[in-house]
Amino acid sequence: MVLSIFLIAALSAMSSAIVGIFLVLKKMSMLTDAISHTVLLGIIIAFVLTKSLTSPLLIIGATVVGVLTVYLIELLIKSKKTSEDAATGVIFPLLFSISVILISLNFRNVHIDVDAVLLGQLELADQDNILINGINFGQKSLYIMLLVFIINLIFFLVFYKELKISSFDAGLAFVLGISPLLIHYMLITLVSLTAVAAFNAVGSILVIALMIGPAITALLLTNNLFKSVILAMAIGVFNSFVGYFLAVTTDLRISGMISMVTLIVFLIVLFFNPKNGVIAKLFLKKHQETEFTLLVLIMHIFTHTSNNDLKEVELTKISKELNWKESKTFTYIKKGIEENYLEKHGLFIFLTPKGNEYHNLKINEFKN
Amino acid sequence: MIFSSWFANNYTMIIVALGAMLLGFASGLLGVFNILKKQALVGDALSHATLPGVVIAFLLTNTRNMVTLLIGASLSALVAMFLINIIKHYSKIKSDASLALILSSFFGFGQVLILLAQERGNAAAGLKSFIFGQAATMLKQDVLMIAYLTIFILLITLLFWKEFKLYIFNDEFFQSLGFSKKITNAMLTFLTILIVVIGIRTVGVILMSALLIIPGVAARQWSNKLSINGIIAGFVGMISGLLGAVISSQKTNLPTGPVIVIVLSILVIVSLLFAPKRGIISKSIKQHKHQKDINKYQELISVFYNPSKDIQLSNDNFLLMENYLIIDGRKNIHITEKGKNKLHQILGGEH
Repeated sequence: MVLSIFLIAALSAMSSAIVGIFLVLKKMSMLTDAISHTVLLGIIIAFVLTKSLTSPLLIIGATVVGVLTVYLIELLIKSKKTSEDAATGVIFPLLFSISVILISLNFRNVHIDVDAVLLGQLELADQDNILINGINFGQKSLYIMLLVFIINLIFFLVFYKELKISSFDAGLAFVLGISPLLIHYMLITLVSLTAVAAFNAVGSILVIALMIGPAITALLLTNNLFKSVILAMAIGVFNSFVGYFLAVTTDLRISGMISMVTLIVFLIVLFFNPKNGVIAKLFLKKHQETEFTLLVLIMHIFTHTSNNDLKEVELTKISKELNWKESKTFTYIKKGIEENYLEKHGLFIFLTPKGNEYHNLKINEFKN
Repeated sequence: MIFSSWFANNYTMIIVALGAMLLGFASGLLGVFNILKKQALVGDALSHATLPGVVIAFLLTNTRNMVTLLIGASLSALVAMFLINIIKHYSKIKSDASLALILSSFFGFGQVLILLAQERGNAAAGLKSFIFGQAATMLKQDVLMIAYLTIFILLITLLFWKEFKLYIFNDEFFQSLGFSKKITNAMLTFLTILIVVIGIRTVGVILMSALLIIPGVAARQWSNKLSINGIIAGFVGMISGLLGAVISSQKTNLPTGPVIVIVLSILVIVSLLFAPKRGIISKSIKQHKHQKDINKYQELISVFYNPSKDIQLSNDNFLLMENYLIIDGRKNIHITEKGKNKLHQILGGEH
């Protein structure tokens, strides 16, 4: 049943990616950190009420606490007592601490292990099967994740327009008769639900990586919202696949591997993306620097030759005039001669006709 | 004699309480800067990011020596900070998103490594205490280390007080004076990493952020002055450390870190509700009183705004009796000096 573990991971990744994009766009990424910690409290409360670890009430209770967390954080932000990130940092440690204390005092012998909650046990997911009349219908987590994925997908497709407008311009959304608050809380409910469902399988810390990682990777690659959601889902599945494969071959934890791969894939895109990656940007910067330096040299020579100031275009004099190191001057003169902008007559440097043309072109560009 | 036997009986608790108090003080003080600079959650991300460093240090040296593990933790937090800065510099990604990703993937990486370490047997068991903290196992040398660190942070903060303050409130002006924003930011980050690295041993990765954020938020309610904020935050952290350590020592299985956070949370709730100027309750009391004043003195206000309008006042109106208004011979109503003062008081700075 190896395939089904990968399927659980992939479904978790896709469900998370859908809501993740909107979290990132609404600058609420760290809410995932808060929610994924506090849902534990909901699980414990539901457990106390139902005395069962398999009841669906656990998922509902945890989702409610997740939404409550966001509500409390926003209440604190609205009261203008503190900034947004500090409000997050005030609320979630409290709820999380309460759950840790409850666990350590009451449930030492029950299988609510904080460790398992934080890290998940994807490896064990296929031990929890649905048995009806002795017939094995497959993993429970798989069904839950599939259900959550379908809910998220429907939400995304049905409310795409509303989500888009309220993410980018809440004011406009309000004017158009869309309630940004309603959309917001629907989104938060789904984030919470996804976090709860996914962390059963992949653990609460990985949920953060699954929600945010593929989303920001996709946003590096495209500016189109619809495309970015599809792309994020694809990247999520890809990360899960690579992570799962690595974990199986090295016999290490799947959830940790997937989160690592998520970061690495993001960094690869950040650095090597040809459009606006770090390396592309550095190259562009270097290129522009060279071009501009050469242009300065050409302008300098143009000004002085047009004034018949031959003394100033002497090889050694140029360095002094421009306050450049001699080596730099020589490099750029050589470059200019190579590109046929400059020519050397004895000790003097002149512009070629091509150099003159280039100079005039650039000057016109600046003037416009 | 009684004291010394009490001391001997509660030696562990005293050590833990001392350590927690010092840690609380230092992180409270430092948190004020981080909160004002809107980097409150950086501490949270950094504390998660220390995990792989701790485990790598263990894997390389095969010892659980505190200093080695702390060096590993610092290095890994530095790498995390470096990545966060690169992402910030070279992309449009908002810093909260990069924090979230770094936090979870570093932590996940740490988990993978812990599994590797566990294959080496029992020595790795203690590594897990880095995740949730184990204040109860704090030793005298841990407390000494926290003490040195607290003194160090205190010294740096006092020494560079003016620079930090300017940097936080007006970094353009700060730079125009010839100071480097980069170096100052690096110093703040470095101090944060230091405190996080020491703190995770006590309260654990997850709750370290609470120590950095909550005291600052509580302090902010009581004062608008940076220095007073720093002092209050330090003391809030210290009291929580003390109470948390004492309360959790009263019952077995009660973990210190979470109890400290609960105490912190109670203090912040009290501050949010009852602080004299910004507190929710005092604000609503003030608002209520203001509303009442406006109702009571509404004729006075309407005379002030519409002097020409005909306003009927009976002779026994308290505004006339108490000399806020007077009626002259031609039955025109005028505001007295006392009335003007009262108006000024009600309408605040408006007139």
